[in-house]
Amino acid sequence: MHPSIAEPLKVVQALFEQAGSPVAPGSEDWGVQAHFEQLLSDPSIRAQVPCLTGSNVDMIPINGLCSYRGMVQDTLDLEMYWGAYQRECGGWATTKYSDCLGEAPAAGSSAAQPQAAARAASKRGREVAAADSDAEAMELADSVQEGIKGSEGTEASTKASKVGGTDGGGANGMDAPASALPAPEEGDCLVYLYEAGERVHLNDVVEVYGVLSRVPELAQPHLAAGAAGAGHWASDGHAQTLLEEELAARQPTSLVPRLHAIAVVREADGAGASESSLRARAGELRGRAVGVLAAALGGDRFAAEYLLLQLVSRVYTRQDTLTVGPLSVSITGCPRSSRPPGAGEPDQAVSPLTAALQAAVAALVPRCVSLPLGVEHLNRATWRPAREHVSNRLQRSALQLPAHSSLLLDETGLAAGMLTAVGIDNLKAVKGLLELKSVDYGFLVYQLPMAADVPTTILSAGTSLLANAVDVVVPLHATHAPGASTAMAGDVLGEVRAWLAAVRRLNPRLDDAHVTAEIVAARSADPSLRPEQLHTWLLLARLLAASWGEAEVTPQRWTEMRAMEAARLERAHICVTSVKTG
Amino acid sequence: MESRQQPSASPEASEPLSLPALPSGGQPFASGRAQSQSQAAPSSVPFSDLSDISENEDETANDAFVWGTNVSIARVCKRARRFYTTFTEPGADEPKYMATIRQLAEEGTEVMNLDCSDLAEGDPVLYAQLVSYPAEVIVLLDQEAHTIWAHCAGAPPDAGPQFTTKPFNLKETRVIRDLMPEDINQLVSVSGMITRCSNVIPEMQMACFRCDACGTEEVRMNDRGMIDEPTKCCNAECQTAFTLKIVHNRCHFFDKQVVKMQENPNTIPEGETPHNTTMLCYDEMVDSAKPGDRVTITGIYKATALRVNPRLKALKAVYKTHIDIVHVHRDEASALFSVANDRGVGSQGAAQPASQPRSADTQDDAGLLRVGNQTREQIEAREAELEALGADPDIYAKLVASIAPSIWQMEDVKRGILCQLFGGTSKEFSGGRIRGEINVLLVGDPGVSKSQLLTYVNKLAPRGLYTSGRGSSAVGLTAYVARDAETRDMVLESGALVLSDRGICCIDEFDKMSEGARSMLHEVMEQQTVSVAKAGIIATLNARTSVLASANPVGSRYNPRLSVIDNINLPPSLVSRFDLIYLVLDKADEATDRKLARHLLSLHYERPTPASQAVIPAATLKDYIAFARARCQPELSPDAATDLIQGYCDMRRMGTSRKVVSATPRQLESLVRLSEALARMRLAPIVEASDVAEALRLMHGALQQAATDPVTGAIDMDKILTGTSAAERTARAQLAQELTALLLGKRGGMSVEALVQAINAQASVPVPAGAVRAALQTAAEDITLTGNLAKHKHAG
Repeated sequence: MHPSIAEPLKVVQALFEQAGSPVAPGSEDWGVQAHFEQLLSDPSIRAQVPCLTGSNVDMIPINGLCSYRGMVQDTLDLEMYWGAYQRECGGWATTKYSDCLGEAPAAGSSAAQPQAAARAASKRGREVAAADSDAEAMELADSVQEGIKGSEGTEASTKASKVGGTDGGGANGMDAPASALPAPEEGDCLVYLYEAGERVHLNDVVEVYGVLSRVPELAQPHLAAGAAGAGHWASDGHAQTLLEEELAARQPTSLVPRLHAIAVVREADGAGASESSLRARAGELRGRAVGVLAAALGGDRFAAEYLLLQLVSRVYTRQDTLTVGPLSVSITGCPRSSRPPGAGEPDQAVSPLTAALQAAVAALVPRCVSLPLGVEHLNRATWRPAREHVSNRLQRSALQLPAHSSLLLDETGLAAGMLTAVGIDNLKAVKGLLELKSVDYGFLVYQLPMAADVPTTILSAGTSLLANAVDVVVPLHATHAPGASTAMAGDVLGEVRAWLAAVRRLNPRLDDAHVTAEIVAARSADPSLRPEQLHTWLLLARLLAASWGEAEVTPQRWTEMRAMEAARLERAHICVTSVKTG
Repeated sequence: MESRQQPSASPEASEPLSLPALPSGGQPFASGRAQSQSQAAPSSVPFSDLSDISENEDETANDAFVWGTNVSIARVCKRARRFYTTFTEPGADEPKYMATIRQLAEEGTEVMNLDCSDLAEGDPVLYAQLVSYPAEVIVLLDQEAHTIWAHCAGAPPDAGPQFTTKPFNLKETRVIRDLMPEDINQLVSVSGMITRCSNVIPEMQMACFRCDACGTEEVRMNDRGMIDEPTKCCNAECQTAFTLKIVHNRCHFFDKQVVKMQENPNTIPEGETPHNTTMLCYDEMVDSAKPGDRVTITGIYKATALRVNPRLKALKAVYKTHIDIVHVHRDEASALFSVANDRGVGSQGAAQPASQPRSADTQDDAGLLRVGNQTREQIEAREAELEALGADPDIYAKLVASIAPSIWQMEDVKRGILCQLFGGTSKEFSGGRIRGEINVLLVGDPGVSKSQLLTYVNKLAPRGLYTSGRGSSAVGLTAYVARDAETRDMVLESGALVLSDRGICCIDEFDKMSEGARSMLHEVMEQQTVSVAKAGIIATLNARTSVLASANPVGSRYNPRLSVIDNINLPPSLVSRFDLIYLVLDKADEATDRKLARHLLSLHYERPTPASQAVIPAATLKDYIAFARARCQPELSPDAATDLIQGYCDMRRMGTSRKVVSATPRQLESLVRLSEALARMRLAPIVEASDVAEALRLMHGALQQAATDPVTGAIDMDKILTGTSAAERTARAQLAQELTALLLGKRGGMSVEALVQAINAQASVPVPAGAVRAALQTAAEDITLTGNLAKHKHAG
């Protein structure tokens, strides 16, 4: 193994000494970043770096280099650290990228003159809790996408199955002792960022290369707090110095591993490789993508077209209350998911249609999450991310999603029932996500809107609860039982993914004169056209152009879009009349 | 602080000890004070010696320095004394802090707030020293204040009040994430919101141990949070090991509270979550802020090496940082609000009296204490900017263009909402109060950007709150009793309307609201209070809220065949409480469609075209509204009053038919409010006749009254487009013909009543008298043309 991987701190120290042990403020980087970035640019060396997952923490050597992939779940407070300290021999040592001073801080000198020995050339560190380990995601992605293992960076988020897990944190509202710290979820990791901190934002998907740190002493105060027992803090008023918050911020490293990040790579926005070669096959690749989606939808290519437009959509612009893109779609007329009433967890799982669609979408885009929109599920736990009162950390919740994640809301299992305050708030949060493209995160004394670029699809049997909030409503006309999947060769699927990622970055222009003429004509033909409807048209036209890889909306695409919309309205009309007559 | 107690000659065992000189560390000020007292004592300067304080002058050899620095204690004292005795505000005839010291001594208060903007002006060097070495310099300031008092009062140096100086209003106010390692041990000013407060913790400052064997007492001080327990008696004759017991009632304690603060929502960069900081407050600062308060604190930024386990001395590489609070200032929502409040222009619109920290209550005169997030110069510059904006003759048009620029057209609705944002003045008189808040209702087809408009107002308004009628219950809107999550006590929780006191409460889907919740609104919308009587709590809370509601018409779509009132389907008592009711309807023609297309396209561009960009940026607009509400209390001019009366009378005359919204005295009040709001937009002190004209036009325009057919109460869509109704034109022409026929056949006079009867006898539908009168006017023309029946003209 390369020495920089086995013992990175030694390399850091060597570089520090090589740079002449700079301790003055403003000299934070002495070539460590450059060294490791250059090293990691070699794929053969990168392959040697072990990947940290929820289960293999114990197998990675302490202070060894490892990688970790996940979503930034919360950005925590800054911490300050001793920049360097003087050793007994008189030389200086750095503490960057480590939790503890490497050795007992020089007995003689340090004890006598702490200030002089350990020069406080302190700089700012930065803590980022990354969650959502990719390991489980990998497994999931593999299990649903047989035969596409070769495709690059397949990943999906597994949060849907974990929503119930936040119950532990919610116990605070009840009479549970305040010291009942919410258990950290497996696979979480605490990442300390140094200079790279400014570049990492909430909900980014990042790959971190860093030094794994283990601090066994951390376990002791937790043990003591646990031994003091329930009601300890409540009864012993004196001790309530917000200590539990300190404890929560410093979970034992066996539960939450710590990484001191040296290099941080943000998720690349698509491969970007051989785009021009893909462009030549635009029609073919587009057709394949529609095929995959149509298969999941029971052969309805028309609805699949709309879904495809959604998959290539993203936020184009944001202006005060109005956001252009991403497209939200409501698919009605889905088969009602039939489950025996009174079964243990009726709407925990999603319907077969949603599962099939999720698999199909996940095969095409980086991430796809499905959420059952049922009464019980809505009431169970809050979907809005919020800082938990005791630990002051953002709790994992359903609507905290990285940008460009597809969200499938499964309303097919919806049955009559009473929504609690939590359920109503969850519905409101979803409505906010659809209308304003942002989610209000709770931060104890106020809520802060966070931009969310999450294309959303609602699958429902009848008219959706949120029908007013979505851009288009498409009734489903399935020709065969939905849920079938088409097998596709891994390399072809890889190409389709690359194509979709490439066209998602496009921002097709609209031709002013042409669009103005079209709008005036349409309005004079039908004066009841609402500006919102026209707005959707503009968006659809742009997306249609993007899905063909075109940088401009041509009159031809506009006509196609109008035809699609007319067909959609026709379908909706037929549905309504058939319901009325039947 | 206990140190103020006189040292007793022979302390009883039960009496607390007086504080001797403390080593540094432990609690920030107490220790430092004692330390410098002992050091500065020999060098204390004769009081009259206020001569030159030059840094290069050779001071005497006994000059003491602040440890580790070149700051001379004697020089700091001199500077402080010179500052206190000479700093005079312009216009005042007595040095400001001399007056303060005297006043405090008279009141028996010992907390002295020091405005650092004064200090920076009076003595920049001392200001710099205060910021760099706060722990030491604050103590010297305390001491100097006392010396001055003693000198003035002629009292012995040990007697009298021991002042505690609380500096505030530093040049720079920062946010938590900007605190750097360089700031450690410096005086910093940080703004944020309090999230949690711990219980009050008595912390031992000085421990007294007594030897069981010989009775010797030994005193140990709190050193950096630790008290080193002696293991061996200090009595040279005793020297017994492990016989020392702590004597609790001879120890000194101080109050300590741990407070957590979180960054303000508006200071958080995109893609970040708010940062937190831990703060400690002591003694009189305890409980000066509660969770949810927006505060600016001044304090000393401290760092301690993190010890995971207090019993282990192993050091970590990480510091733990906290702030020792010196001064707390509770901020109101906007700095401009608190400024305005300070000048006390009026009650309406101004923020509630800025609640000063408990310790500062006694010193609340002549703006001595007013602080905001910005320096005075910045605020003055901002005010001048806003005043210049108000002087712009096009301000009204500019404001209209700046409101919700992404929302297409609806110019008149935007004007109405502007009026609401600015508000009228509320008048209080003995026995009652007339509200100045303007309520607006938007009625329209689904999808006419009503919700977007509400969301926008919610963002813009001070204390805006957004709620949906469907999800709101009566208690959720007003107030309810709940159990507090942290303390488990019953607390009165304010609902949306109470929370938006002096703000705007936006209620979407007003028509979907339950009957109970809506009936509760009656009280709020006129009396502007909420009464609660439940769970043993009886209270009347202020809810001086403007309501902006949106509703869908009955059956979701506007039915042009029904009257406006029938379309809205809300109880008339509630409808009459809205000053402006807008029908948001849509009409198409090519010119507006082109504009619409251009507007939509501009929304899709990465960079909006200049036309769609707001003329006034949202932040400035927000400030401008706050500023106008606080500063401008317009009054009616005589001209305006005459016009108002005339306009109101005209409206009364119009509303003869029962199907249209008839004018009530409430409408007159509304007109006054609207005119005032319009004057306020110009920052004008007088309501002009032009404001009244616009107010009348707005009220007329709202509800499309101009387009309402007075007969049916329905809105004539042709009328919106062409100005006159097609149906009306043909009907009137027909009626005129009939009348002419009737009149031509008659000799002699015929009263209008008789004509109406005659017409009704012919017609299949009843014809109202008003229509006959109107038709007679048309008919009169025909009659004069024929010329031979002039006597019959009595229509007018």
